[in-house]
Amino acid sequence: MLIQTLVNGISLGSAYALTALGFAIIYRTLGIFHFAHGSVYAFSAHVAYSLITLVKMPLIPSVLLTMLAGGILGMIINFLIYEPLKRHASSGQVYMIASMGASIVLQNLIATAWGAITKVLVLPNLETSLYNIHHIGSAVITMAQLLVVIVTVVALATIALFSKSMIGLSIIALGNDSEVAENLGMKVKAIRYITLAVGSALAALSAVLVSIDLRAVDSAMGVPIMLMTIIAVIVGGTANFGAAIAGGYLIGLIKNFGIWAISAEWDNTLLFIMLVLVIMFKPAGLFGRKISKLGR
Amino acid sequence: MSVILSILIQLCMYSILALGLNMLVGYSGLVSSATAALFGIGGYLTALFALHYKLDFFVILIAGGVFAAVLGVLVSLPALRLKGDYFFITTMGFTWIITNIMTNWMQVTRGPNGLTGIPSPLVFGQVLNSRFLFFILILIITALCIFVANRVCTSPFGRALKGMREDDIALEALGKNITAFRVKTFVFYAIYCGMAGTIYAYNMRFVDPTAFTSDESIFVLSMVVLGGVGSIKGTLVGVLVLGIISEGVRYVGLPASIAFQARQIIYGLILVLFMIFRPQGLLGQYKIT
Amino acid sequence: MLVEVKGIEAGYGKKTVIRDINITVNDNEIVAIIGPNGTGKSTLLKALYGNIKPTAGEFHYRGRNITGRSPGVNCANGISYVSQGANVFPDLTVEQNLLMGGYTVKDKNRVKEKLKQVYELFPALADRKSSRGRSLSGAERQQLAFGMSLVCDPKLIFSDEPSIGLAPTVVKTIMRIIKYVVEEMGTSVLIVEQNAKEVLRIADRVYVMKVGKITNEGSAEKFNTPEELKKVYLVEE
Repeated sequence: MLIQTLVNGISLGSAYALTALGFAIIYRTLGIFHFAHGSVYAFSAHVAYSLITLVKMPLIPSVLLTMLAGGILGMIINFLIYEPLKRHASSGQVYMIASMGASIVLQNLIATAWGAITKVLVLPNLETSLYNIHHIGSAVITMAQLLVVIVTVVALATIALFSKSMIGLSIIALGNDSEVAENLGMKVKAIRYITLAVGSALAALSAVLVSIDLRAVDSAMGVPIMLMTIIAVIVGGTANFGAAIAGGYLIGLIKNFGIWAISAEWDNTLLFIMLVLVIMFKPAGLFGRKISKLGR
Repeated sequence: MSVILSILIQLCMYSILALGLNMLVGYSGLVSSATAALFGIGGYLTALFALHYKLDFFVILIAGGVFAAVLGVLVSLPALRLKGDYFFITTMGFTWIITNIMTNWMQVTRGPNGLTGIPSPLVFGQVLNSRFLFFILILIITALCIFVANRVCTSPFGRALKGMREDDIALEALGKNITAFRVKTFVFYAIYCGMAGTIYAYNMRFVDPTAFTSDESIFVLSMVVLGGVGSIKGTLVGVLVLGIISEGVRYVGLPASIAFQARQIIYGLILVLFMIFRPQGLLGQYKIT
Repeated sequence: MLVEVKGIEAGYGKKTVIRDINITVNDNEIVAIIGPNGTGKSTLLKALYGNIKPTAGEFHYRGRNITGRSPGVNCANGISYVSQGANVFPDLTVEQNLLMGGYTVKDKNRVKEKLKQVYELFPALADRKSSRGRSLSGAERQQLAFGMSLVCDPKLIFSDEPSIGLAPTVVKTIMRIIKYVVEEMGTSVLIVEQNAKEVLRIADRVYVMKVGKITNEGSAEKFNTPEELKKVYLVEE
């Protein structure tokens, strides 16, 4: 049973890690607590549903298009909300409230467009191979679950490489010191858009993978994901991107251990209590080094 | 008639909630998502007291408020020292924990079923069956809440709070303890939320977890944001406007789920648009910083 | 004449901090602006570099009027800026920081060449190529900040209070480095500095700024006497 919990935890943790990394990239670079991240996730899952089940597009183009859709939504949110707020030099709390409002609007738009009931994601051709059960020791795992882990690892490696490119470095630089970045002639506005696009694309990727694994999407799925992302990022810490990734895996593992050790209903309470404790006693996060920028 | 009374009682209830939140946001500059949780604590406590003990309405009212305040402060006290972002997330965490307890603690809260069959309130030993008289009672309490809120805002305490929100570094330099002020405003906010919970419980005659979700917190926040942060008049305007919108959408004739989504979209849009174009709300003077 | 500043006036919001500023800088020259704290020296640099827009006056560079031109464009056209506190990117390595300095340079081979030059100029940085910005000492950071400003091949460098926060021996080193940069790379430097004594060692010409205005100017030797220095710091109202 322990191995099963570990297996489930790593699979779930991978999805959380991707989403948390996307959120952390936006937060560390722009200082925005992007509450709408969960809604971008939900939107992407629904786009994937439409492409895969309704349009019956093959898997890989669907995934790529979904990531594109998510990235574009992120940029639209930046255009409509964050850039105007920046022009007014708004404070962090204003961004937070606006982002929260945006996430509510998005969530309900998704419900209006796709319907509020849970929709089943059907993969026409790969159906059998993806949901076959494989064994790891005494534990079971489906190909879909394994896919989540593998794709996550590949995505993380890609991001690591990307962070050494000029664009990647400029994103990190902007997050470090926007004034110096401007003085060096960096195109800060464009970098802001790219940041939102990259962060959202990661959430979109996570959303597709999870939706394929769970075979379902529903309009409220963004809310629990946002919860978990916030917990992962705060508990892990915002010291660096690795902390957010570690936080994601940690939350995935704790959640599954909680289900195993206590019961399914209280797994979230455990996490929430952990969140509150971390904020109260170690605000920099478990892997954090110093008080993070949270609290602008 | 009974429906209209129920709506009016709800408006009064939301007024109290919004006034509480307005005090917190407008005077200590902290945004809280715990409104629904504190509201729910008051509601559930009222239900439990009313179902199991023969206590007077006012006793329960005060008890609900105090209990919510104590619980709220315990959780928020460490976070009150931190900056706004952290505080807000702590209140979110608090709300999730409370919601989880409401849904899962079957022995006490009966979980998703909630507590039903709350009897009529006992006012000064008399059972108050008339809905109309109950409304009058609530109206008086609401008026008192407005009066007290107004007095607090114009008192030296209120003036100090206004100073704090303009420049808390300066005020700190003057030796005033900002955390103490924040705790006091939070207590005010929590008591008001708790009392609103009592009103809810007696009005609806049952409580269940779905009434106290973060959607409710957002609803109250949008009232304060719309009406004007830091302004009592503005807050009441916000309550009225959003109350009308909320009921209005119900009667336009949309199917129930679409109506719900439409309302949520309106609340969300209010938050977004006001933050971008008019952060001080319709009547407020204070922009959230 | 490399730089001609005429009648510059600037401030923050409704508050005018500096007025009637007239300055010149020649090729291969170190010009220092000295004066007491809070007289608007940093504001002047910001107004010239484009971080804030001047409300009056003109800034001519190489004969062209570039008043109020944005920092990014300035950086791409031969003027760079070393901010107060020698800010570098703490999460990036020394090498990556320098690469960011060359952000506006289109020819990436040129950037590689400039990096080599910078490492020759600052051997301490060459030793720490893969160290993160946050792990550098104050002196190393100052060198890195200067190094970054050199990658875009500037003819003019604005340096805002290079001595701030540094120990006295380190300050001497920094001043020597600035002089070295000017001699080796042929740039001019406009330094704003509180530590008059140290900056006078390397400056060619000096302007004295008090309460937002230029009150005196001349060669560095003229001001390098105890009496003159005392006059600089005493506010005459």
